[in-house]
Amino acid sequence: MFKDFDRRAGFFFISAFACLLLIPVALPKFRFVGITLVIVQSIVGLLSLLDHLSRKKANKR
Amino acid sequence: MTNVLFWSVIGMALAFDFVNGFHDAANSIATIVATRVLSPFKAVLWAASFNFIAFAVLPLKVADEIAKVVSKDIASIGVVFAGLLGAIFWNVLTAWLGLPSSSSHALVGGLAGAAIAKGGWHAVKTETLRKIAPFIVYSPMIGVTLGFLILVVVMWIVHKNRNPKAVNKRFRKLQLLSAAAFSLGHGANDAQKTMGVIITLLVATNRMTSGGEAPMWVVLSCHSAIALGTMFGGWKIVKTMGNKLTRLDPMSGVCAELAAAGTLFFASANGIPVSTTHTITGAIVGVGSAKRFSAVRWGVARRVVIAWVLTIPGAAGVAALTYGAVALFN
Repeated sequence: MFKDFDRRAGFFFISAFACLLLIPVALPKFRFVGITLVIVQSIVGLLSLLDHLSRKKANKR
Repeated sequence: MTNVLFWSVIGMALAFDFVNGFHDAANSIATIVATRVLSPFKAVLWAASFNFIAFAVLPLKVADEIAKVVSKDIASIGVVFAGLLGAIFWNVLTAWLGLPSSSSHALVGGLAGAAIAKGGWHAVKTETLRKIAPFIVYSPMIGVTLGFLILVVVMWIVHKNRNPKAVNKRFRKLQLLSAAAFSLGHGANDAQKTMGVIITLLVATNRMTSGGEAPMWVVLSCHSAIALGTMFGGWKIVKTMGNKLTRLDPMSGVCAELAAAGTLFFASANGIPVSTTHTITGAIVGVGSAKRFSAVRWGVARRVVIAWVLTIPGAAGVAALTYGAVALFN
């Protein structure tokens, strides 16, 4: 199942999740840092996954 | 006797600062030396100069924050001594074990541990710890994200250029700028940690009022110590590092250093003490994963995570034990 998984996307999703967990711990003044990291890393993870899938599809052809 | 103890602990704090510069020198100059933009000697001079002038560029907010870790009524020469000793012991132990731990985290852990041993949990300001703790993880993550994004943008800008030699040449020159920016951030954030320790000591011994401005001799001595450490450390490390340097081309080097510098500027401007080593490690991971994910040395990244978890409690434990021993002598 994990053979075809994009490790880079996985890395960014896990990082985003770790940043998400820390948002309640951070002072309200700095919560925007965690929120920004979660959003940006999720987008990068998603784009990386899409890139991986499109390359895989192209390779099959 | 109190005077002798006071100046001994100041000396110890400056020695900690010197060792910090010594250790981190390679972070600032590794790329410019590896790509032969500057000779090792010129590179250490370049980095040390920016370490030194950082106090004139960025505010002293990190020092204020470190000085707030221990409550005013708990701070004493014994607490600062135990905190520093805890941090130094932890740094030596992790260096021996090969764990890339952060001197900054060790310092915060050490001070907190010694203070808790003296006055219980109320001796430490929770708000200050809440400001510092999330950034143990956030600062390398900002480095990763910025490093990744900057490299992607730069690659998109230069991909149409059909002359890679010219691009390489341009980035070799830009490395001077990025290394200077990183050294500035390093000097600002790391020298101020020692400044915070000395301020704690000055307040504890009634030589300074709490919340007052740091005396100029403290500012200059801390920046001199870290700059001297960079000069001596850089010179030695570059000589021995040779092929161990991370394989970064000039473009990746510039992107990683700019990402790390941006993170350090943000942290310093907001008074957040962060690990410069973990920040640049994060930025290099970000740059590496933008190019080829498998090219990143994930073993190092894993060891950084282990160091995150262990450093603050480890240094705090050693400092608490040291404070226990100091209290016995008192």
